[in-house]
Amino acid sequence: MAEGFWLIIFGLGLLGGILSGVPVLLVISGVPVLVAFLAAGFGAFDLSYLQAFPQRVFGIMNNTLLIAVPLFVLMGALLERSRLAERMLLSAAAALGGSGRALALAVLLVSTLIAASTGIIGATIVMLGMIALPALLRAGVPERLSSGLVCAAGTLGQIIPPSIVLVLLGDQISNAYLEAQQAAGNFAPFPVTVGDLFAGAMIPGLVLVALYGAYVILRLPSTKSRPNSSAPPINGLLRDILPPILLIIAVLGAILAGVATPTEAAAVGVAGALLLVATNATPRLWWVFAIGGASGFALVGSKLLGVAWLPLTLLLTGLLVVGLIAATWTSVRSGALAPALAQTVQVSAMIFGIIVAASMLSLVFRGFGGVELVHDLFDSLPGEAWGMLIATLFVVFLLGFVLEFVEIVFITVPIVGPILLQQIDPVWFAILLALNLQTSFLTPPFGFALFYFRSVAPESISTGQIYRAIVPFVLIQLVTLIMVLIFPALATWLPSMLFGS
Amino acid sequence: MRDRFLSFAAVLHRTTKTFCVCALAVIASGQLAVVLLRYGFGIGFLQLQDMVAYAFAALVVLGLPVALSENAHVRVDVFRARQSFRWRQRFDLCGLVLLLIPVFGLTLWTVLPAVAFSWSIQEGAIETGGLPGYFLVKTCLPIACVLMLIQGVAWVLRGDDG
Repeated sequence: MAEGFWLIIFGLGLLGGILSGVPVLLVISGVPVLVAFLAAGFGAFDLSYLQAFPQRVFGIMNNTLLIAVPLFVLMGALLERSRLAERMLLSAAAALGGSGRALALAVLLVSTLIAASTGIIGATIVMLGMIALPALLRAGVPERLSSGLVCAAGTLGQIIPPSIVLVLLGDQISNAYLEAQQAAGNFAPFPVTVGDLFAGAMIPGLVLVALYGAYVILRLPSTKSRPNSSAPPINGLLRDILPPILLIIAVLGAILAGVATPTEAAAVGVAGALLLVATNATPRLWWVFAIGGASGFALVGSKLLGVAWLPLTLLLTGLLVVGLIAATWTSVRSGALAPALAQTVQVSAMIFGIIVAASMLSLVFRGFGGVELVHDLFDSLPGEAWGMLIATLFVVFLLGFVLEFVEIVFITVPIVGPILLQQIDPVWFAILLALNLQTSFLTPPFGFALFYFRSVAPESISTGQIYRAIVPFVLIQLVTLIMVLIFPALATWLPSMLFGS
Repeated sequence: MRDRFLSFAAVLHRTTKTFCVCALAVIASGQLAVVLLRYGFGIGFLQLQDMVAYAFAALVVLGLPVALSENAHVRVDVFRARQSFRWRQRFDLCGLVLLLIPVFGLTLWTVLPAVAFSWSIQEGAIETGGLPGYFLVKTCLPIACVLMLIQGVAWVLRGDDG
């Protein structure tokens, strides 16, 4: 009982600290330390637990899976600098016919592609709000639909692979799954990989996009398209849409085909993004970068076909390296590279700060016997595994109002995962968690996505309007979530097809 | 005194940031080189992979003080938006004294023996044939703690408003 008391103090302290506006990193590492010392004064906590903390930080530093995180962030930051999104949006809208409906669908398409490269909701929503929203309003799309679409499309980055949050979730889920299976007596379970989660998220993510698209088509009846501007759309498509699609196919394909690890694929993604930035900065050298990129693809192609002729490999690698060196040089000259690197350091540090801090939180939580408490709590729930799952999803949904994805994943998965994953498929659970959090971020009045959108939306759109605008999209989210709950195969079929686990 | 301390913190910040940017560049270019060597030529270059891993390990902890002094760590500003400037400063001061100093002070205190031991045996890579000098990577953690303490004090002294 005394443990329960301290855990309540612990929870209240965390909540108060987070709401006070002090950086979350300090709260979720500092409050546990304070409460631990306080409890130790009453003999309710063994301070030697805290000595394990540096070892945990070393564990994070040595986690080679996490190397993918700064690389994916860098890839996103570079693509952002290349103003690719803007041009993709214009070309896609032109190709789809230039009407309001076409533009709305283009926003959806482009955010799906961008989503696949960034996965940070704040950045995507702010960007879409600044670029896409004014264009949508000018094209005559109603304010409510435009606002809802931008918010919803901006959160797609969480679920559409290769998203950073899925990498982090994969790390945590695989640890928790291992622990759960060992507790259940299975000492050699199939490992869960980030590739599994990427594959698992594909179908639910695409279902989500399709439902959004259907809703847009339903709401915006087809209008006669305006005569197009002089540029033939096919050129624009080739120039603006094809390269990023190729890049995403390369990155995602390498992971899903089981050829490369996420970290290796992310490094390839950075190289591709660098070529795109350079092409944008110095268009007259486009052929140098295009040859570099094409050589990269040719390398992959020759590898897949089993062609192993050394001179050819040397030639292609040489061309690729020349292209990359030229691209690095041009991006440095045009001033695009340095800010992208600085931004990446900042964003990665935000993410790692949370991971480091959350490891202190879970350490102290264990020290207070919290794991046993959750165990007892789960045992008292009706409905066995379903009861636990629904309770977890509900709590995570509420947490989504105050915390972001990374915090929630690193706090909750180590606590509930080792128990839950004894009975529940890890990939299914991970995808449910991701969909659930994405829904939470969209739900008024506290959804994060709405706050980000508010910060860039014009004054003429009231907060109440934003709340009403998002309702249909939240319903679509819930429909998808329930579909995955009822049909786990939506999440588990593709990974088992690809990796056979 | 205050100004001197702040300019000292600013120099430290710029140095740490430059180091982090370099580490990131090593991670990106090194990892790409590893990929090209492995898939193009079937060569596994363990020391290069270790270099990437070491740069990453340094980036994980040394990025924290950089983001702190740039006020980039995530905050939940549901209520903060409505707080007056003075209240925000009071909360930040509490954050420094009650949270930041205990956490990073404690980490520094508990990690020093481990790092001292690592130096005494000149700890290298885990796998044989890997890059030596792992003890230097471990040293990044106490350095990061000291930097957090310095940048934390500077952050409150400056009265940054996130």
